[in-house]
Amino acid sequence: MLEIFDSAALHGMTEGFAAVLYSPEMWLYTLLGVVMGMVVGVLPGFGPPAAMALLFPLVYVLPALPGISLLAGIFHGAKYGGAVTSIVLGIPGEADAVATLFEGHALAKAGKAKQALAVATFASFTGGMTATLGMVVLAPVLTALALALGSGGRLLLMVGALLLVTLLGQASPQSASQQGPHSTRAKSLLMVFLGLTLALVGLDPIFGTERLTLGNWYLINGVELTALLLGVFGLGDILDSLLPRRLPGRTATALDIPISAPSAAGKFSNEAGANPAHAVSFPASGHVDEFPRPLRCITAFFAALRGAVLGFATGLVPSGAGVTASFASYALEKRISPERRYFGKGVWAGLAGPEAANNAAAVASFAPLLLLGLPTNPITAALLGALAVGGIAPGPQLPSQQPIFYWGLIFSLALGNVLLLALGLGLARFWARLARLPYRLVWPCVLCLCLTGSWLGAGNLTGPLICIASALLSVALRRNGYPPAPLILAFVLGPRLETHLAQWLMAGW
Amino acid sequence: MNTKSNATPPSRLLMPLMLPLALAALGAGIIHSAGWHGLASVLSVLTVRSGSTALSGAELSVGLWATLVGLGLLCCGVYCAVQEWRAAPSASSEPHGRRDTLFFSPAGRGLLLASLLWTALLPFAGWLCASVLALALACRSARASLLESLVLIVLLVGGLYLGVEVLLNTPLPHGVWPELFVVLPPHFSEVVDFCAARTFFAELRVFYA
Repeated sequence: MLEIFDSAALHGMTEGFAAVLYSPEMWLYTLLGVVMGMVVGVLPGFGPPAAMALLFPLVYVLPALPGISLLAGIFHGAKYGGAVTSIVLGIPGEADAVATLFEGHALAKAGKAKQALAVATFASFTGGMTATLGMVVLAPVLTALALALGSGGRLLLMVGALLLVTLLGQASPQSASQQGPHSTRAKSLLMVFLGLTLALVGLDPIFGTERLTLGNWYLINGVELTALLLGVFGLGDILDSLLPRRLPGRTATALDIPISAPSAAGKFSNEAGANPAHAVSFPASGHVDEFPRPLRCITAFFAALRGAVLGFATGLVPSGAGVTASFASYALEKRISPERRYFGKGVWAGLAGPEAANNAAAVASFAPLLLLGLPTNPITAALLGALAVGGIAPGPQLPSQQPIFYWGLIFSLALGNVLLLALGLGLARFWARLARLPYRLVWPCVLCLCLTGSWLGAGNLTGPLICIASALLSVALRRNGYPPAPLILAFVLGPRLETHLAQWLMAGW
Repeated sequence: MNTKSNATPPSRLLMPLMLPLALAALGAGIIHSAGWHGLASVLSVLTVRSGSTALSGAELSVGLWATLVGLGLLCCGVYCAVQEWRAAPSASSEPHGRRDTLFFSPAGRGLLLASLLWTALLPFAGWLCASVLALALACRSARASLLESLVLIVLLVGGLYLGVEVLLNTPLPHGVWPELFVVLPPHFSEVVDFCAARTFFAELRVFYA
């Protein structure tokens, strides 16, 4: 394996490793990130994007590596939080935790919540570590591939990524059931253009002229990413969950999903959350597989490994990786399992596979982000914004120009996984209890965090105003079946697309 | 048979159309604002790509990207509006729940009011006061008990203040109150000191006497 790395890369890797391992500050920030991510991810009604948005303002006050490691830790922790709420409450905070829910909640209902949480934690760890190892091994290949792309190539790649997210992206269950796939894709595409429009506000990145500022001095710097993220995923989430639903009843069951591609997506919540209308219904839990314990562990471990490989491969492609990976893994496990008829009633392999795939895809999505500057989901879009705040330019030169940052971040991902394992296993009972916190106590806190965070991000009152306006916009969009994720991706990619287009055209002159 | 309840109100049919149409209008506005610059850019790109040297690189002006984005917004907005219009008749067959209006949910209304209160108070009263009042309103809307509200306010505001202002050393807005005390006579800044306050009032009494 070492032959594929040159001496400079190995030196950078060693330095990055040392920067993480021997720095108490890095341990502290990664731990803080994982804990905060777990806390916010476990709270009812909030998923990883909301967790990331709520804690995003911290990157303004921290150095680049600790700041991004903290956000990466939040990503890990919030993903695990989604698994906890899925298993304990039957509330997947995110669409990619739905596959975990099918077996996890059935196991919990059969009185095996603690074991299910332990298996989910181990599976997350397996997925995360496999993907981190994959990133280390594939880094030179991906770097060479990225270097081969010119300005036009990167432009095409970004357009392709946006189109993939649009075509394979998730719509709300209501809109998916009421309208055809063409309408859903058109809506996603409209959101892409809305995101690009929001990115137009401010100064032109090439010519420096003002655009769509309406003469307002505060808008010269453009729409603040922190405020937009907090509005769409923080305040927008709670506002959406506090309003009454249009359609009552079921949206998806375990029996609907497997074998085929992901179909149920979007945000679900019930019970302690405020969305009883979005409850996910379950088949009666009549089976929890009765393998002896060692065999059960081996089955779950191999399922997690399969899920991790699948998740890593899927995570490299901009296609709503977590959802695709977890459902593909669930379908795979169901196909190859000798007890497929019991799926949906509590099968360990059906829990471990999707959970590992989900986490592996999350870690793998760092590869296109760091080496191509290409975010593949709203969370990595936020991370791209954080990189810009920290003065880090992602791209194929990143490992050679900033080896300590690049390798330090990869090792901090591994460290985050280890901490996640320790915290997940050690505090399983606490997370399960936290997940039952009444929503009426949660949303006032989130409101205060969102408003304060948006002020910290913008440094003036424009931040909170943008936050409130984007929350209202996000609710209006969701209620009409328009997914907000492509909007955020396009908003972050907009200035880069414009720059690459201009460079490509000028090169042709 | 109650036909009246099954009829779809026109507003219900028009609501889904309004959003894509508004976005299409925004796209049209962007194209309009890019104006001749946008048209010139598009033409210059087409001319250069066709091999002609009639136009120089200066024509690749600010309007190109904005025009492309505006065009995309306009086309997608119109397409989505048409799709919504086609899907509209089937809406009458769906079961009707409550309307999705912000004003039908007390908690949603409370959240919006608390947000606006926080934003309005921040420049004048400062972060601390704005947060306490907005949180109190939010807790009230969330139907939290008095004890829960108090604990929540103390923990959250105290935690945020300690975390942001003390640990991260990032100042939170203090409002105009500190400035107000600065511009007043020096004695006003000593009101916390009881003895100083007593001396001040004694001096004041002497002065007016």
